[in-house]
Amino acid sequence: MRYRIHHETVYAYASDVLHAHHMLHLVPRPAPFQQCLEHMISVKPATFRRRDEIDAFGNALTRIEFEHPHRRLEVATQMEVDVHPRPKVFAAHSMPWERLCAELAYHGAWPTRENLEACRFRHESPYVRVKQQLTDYAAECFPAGRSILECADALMVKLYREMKYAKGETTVGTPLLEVLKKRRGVCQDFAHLMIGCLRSRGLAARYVSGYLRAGPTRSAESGAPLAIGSGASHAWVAVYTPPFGWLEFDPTNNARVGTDHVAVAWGRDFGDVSPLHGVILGGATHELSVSVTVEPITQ
Amino acid sequence: MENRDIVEQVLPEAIRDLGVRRLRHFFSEMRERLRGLYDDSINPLVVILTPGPFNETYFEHAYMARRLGLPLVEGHDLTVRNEIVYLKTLGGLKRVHTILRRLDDDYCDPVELRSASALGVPGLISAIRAQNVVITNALGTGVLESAAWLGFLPGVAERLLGESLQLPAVATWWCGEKPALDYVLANPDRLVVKPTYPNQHFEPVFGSDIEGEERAALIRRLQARPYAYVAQEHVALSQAPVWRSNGTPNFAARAFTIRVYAIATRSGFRVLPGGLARVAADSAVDVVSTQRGGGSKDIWVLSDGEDERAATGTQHLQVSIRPDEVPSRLAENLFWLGRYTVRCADNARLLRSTVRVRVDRSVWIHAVRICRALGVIAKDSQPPASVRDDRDPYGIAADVKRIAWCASQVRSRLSARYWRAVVGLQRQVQEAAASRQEPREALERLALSLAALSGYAAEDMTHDEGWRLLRIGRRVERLQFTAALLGQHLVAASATRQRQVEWLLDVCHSISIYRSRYFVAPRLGSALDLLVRDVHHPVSLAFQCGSIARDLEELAVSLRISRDPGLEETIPEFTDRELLTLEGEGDEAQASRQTLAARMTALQAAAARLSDRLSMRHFSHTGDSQSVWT
Repeated sequence: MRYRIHHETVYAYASDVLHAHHMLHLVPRPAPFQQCLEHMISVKPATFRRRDEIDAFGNALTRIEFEHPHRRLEVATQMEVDVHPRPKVFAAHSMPWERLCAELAYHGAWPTRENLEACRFRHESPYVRVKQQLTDYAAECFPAGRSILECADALMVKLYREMKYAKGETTVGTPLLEVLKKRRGVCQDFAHLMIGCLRSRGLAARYVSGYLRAGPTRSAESGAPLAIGSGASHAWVAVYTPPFGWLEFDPTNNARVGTDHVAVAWGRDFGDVSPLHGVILGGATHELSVSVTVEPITQ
Repeated sequence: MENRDIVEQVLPEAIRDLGVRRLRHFFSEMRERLRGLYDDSINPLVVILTPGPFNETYFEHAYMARRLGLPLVEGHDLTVRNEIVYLKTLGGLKRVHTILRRLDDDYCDPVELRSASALGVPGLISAIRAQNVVITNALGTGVLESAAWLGFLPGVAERLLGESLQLPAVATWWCGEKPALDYVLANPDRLVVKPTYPNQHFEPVFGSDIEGEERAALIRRLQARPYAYVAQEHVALSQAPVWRSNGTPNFAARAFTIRVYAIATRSGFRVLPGGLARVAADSAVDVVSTQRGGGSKDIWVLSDGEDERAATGTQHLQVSIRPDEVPSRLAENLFWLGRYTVRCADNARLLRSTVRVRVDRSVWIHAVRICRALGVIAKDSQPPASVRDDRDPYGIAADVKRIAWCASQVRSRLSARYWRAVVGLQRQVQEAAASRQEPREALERLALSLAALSGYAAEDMTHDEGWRLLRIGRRVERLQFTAALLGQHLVAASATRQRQVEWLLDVCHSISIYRSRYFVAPRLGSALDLLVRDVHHPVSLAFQCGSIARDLEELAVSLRISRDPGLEETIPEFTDRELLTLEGEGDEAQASRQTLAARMTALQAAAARLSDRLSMRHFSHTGDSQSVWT
């Protein structure tokens, strides 16, 4: 599947921004299931400094800095990405969740490379606190001896059923336990909640930011087309499920991730990989508009 | 370390006779080490980064900054441009080479780390990665503060150094290890359970103190997240005698702990020959922490005679902060501290003098009208009420709050007695509001305390650029007040009456000097002579203008910048004849008073413009940063 993606972000500030640093996570990282064929990021006004790097999690990162007063910031990305189907896996063949917990926990011997990498995503992070309430909330999804993949599927279904997708009711700063109480939020909140439920049991989960194609795939549950999250950047969850490595789940749409999703970056939570994050001096208040189009160009 | 300064003042002989090792050498070594960290610079700028006055250890940071002669800065004093760190100073941006960090790791850069934090420096991490700045201790070293390491220290020393620890560590079990957890669960009575991570909300628990359901709950927590907990053997702390002066004065035993300090120098670690002993608040308590109250003691390490020789061998010149390294934010707060102090003092005197004339109806009406016109009391309010009202944004109480805020922002620059006077001022206002005491008395006391603040500012502070801005702030404020007061007085029909003029002189604190100079009952002409054009009288308009002009000149010279043009209005000059006209009766006299009042208004506006200009020029880049997300 090949997509042409266009992502535009515009900030309109009420007063001059005198100086600003921004970090952009806008270029899809290479992975066995996807390649970014070409991309272009254009930024207005002209940047004082721009540097392309790879961040601590292996994502493509662009840092930009502005030194001249400006009232408007436009960041537009165009890209073409190939996405391949993921290999089929049999849920029952993945490791029982308690055994995985025990393997990831500290013990005297050296951990395997894969397990060590997974441990980066097993602890609490700035936006995902590890809480007993989360362990309790998800308890029914983790019966003794069930395979990790089956547990993750069950958790995804539970969140999809019990959480209501509602825009504008949560912000970046809304604590996870408040989201749990309200049972409402956007894809970020769905993803953070799922990650929190897994990490609270000592399992590893990471936050994936990317794009979703609106259209043909239908939700396993309702038969409705996958639509929530298209038209903007989207977020979902990758769960460490040996022996299959990291598998991805979209709790907002109740679907395993396939060729309708394009991953851009992953990290511990939203804070590590948000498409655009900056700190500005001045600016007073601002208005933000984001538009995303994901257009399939070949089957 | 402040403790040592106090003890040295109180017991100088004991310190000398016992050969107590001095701390000075440690500080000079530390400063040299800091200055040497950044290799490429001959004259590196080293700053101390603090979370600010709301942090419980701010006092220590301010003390250290004074002791080391380094600028104490907060996150928004620094800026990163093109991966280089700069200090925003009065003289412009100055490159920073080394940062001594007293701010927690994850608060250091809101772009990359904890983004909700306003304490850090946006872009700092990129500057560190580019090796354009040295930060000490390095980011991430905070992990070593975890008590979990203590259990591993004996093994680490064996493995890395091939020797055992010289001082045994408190026996510690990190519950993330299965055998450790098993041991802890089997022996809770002998152990104290503590959090592994400093940001965890978990108070240390003594296993022996809890039983039943409480103990079961602790065990469940340990089993659910064993890695988040550390257990230590319950050690009996040493006791020290403490003199208790409340109640029956006597000595009492208190548990204490010692905190020691070390720096890494090129020739190995150097340990401070002293330290901080923290004493428990209560005899029953065996957890010692400053957040829970308690006290501290100075620790003496006795010398065998070699120490003093070593110290004199490497005497360094006292390094001072260069004038162009005064952080802009500091200077801005000093400027406003000057303005608010004078504003508060002027308002207090205005109200005091007004309350004094309450029995004299015609003066009282004149005075209250002016108080209202100047905005010192609300339109529908009376002077006495205004003193007590702490919600009135223009009231005295609000002024005192602003003084306290500015003072807290520049605390590292204030003398101890200045700070105590600010604290005392706040207490006075609270007491005056609460006790409903006679307002006149409260105002007299307030005026006196504010006068003390001015005295301390002149006597205790280094007369550098920050101080100069404080003084300009004072002069600008006084100029605005006096010009406004005179303007309002001049347009009143009763402007020339003796008792009204006497009130005017009293507000301006000029009664006695008037009497000693003019030998006549108060007259408007002579009062204007004194309050407008006498360049030697520290309340007069001419005095303020002269002083502002000189300070602007000196500021320009020391910062090597062009001189601000100063006030765009001049002080009115008048002949003796004109003075006679001003205090006369009839249309011509009234017209001349109106003209002079208009000039007062113009002068007031010019002072406001000067203040804005200074703000734009010296403080414009001191705003706060904000985070944006998509």
